[in-house]
Amino acid sequence: MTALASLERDAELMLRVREGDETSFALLLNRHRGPVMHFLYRMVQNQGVAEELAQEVFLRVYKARASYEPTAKFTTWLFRIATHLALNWLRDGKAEKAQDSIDDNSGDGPTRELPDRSGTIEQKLVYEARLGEIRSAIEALPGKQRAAVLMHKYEEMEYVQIAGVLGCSESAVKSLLFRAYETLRARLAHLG
Amino acid sequence: MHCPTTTGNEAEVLVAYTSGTMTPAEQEAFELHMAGCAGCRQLAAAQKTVWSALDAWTLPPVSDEFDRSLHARIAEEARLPWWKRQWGGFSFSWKPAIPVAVACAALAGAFLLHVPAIDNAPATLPAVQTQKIDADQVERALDDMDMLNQLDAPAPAPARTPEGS
Repeated sequence: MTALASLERDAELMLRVREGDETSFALLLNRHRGPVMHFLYRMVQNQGVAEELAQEVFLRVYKARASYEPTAKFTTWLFRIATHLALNWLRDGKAEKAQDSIDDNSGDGPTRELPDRSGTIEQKLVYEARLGEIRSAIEALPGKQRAAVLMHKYEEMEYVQIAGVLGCSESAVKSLLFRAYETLRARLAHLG
Repeated sequence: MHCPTTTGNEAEVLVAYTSGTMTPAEQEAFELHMAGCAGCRQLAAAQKTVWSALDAWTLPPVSDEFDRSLHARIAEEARLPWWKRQWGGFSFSWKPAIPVAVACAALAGAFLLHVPAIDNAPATLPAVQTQKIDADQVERALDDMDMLNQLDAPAPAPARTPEGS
């Protein structure tokens, strides 16, 4: 399915959800569950919190179904909710408490990156070390820069759509992104 | 192709190049430029490293429990009374209230401190008072001159009539 057809399909499905079609909601959930979940995980870097926030995203979509109007792309709306929840969570300072659970692998929300099933122990250690540096570099970015990078890199969103999600201009998005990438180059260039 | 570092859009060009969103013609032009520009080669290499590093951050699929938990939450939400469904989504965190309260207190304090200042000296009043004083001075000076005239002292003729002015 082409990207445009997919976007139109999203709006069409959501309009059916508005009319009470639960199957259409299930289809939307199936299509967007993964991207939303992964975006939130990379934002908050805690599996349990990311799952809770992702459920909240879809809960809000479901609750708002009666008043849904396709004035923007469905994914713009979806990621606007997700970004808002993630930034609120980060602002409320819970990230600091959750970081302890990441570091000592205890508490709720253990991290679940894809395990490296191949290679020697040394290769696995190198992989884990690299991953740790990448996660730290992303975590060091301010909230909106982090969100912009994640949407640009992993969701392959264009500048104008990221601007719609963040509620700012396209030039502001470019400024956020380029500053973020500059920071990441400084921190991760040695991995090359 | 002009060097992106001289045109100020090196960041946009770099990102477009490493993310593969350039047209084939643009990509060819940039690669031709990089062949002769060490600065751009270095930046492009660093950006590619970042891109590859981010590619390596892969995540597992979402757990099977996700949908079941979500539907349970939706069902629980549906059981709530309508007023709680309407307003239950609002979480009143007190933390944002602190800066708002401080801002309100600052505004109130500024208003209370500023009110006497309004009575004292807005910018226009001194200028008005100065003009009035000057007019009085002029009038007194003219009166003095009239007196001098009456004493037959030589004095220049007044420029305006003494009465009713």
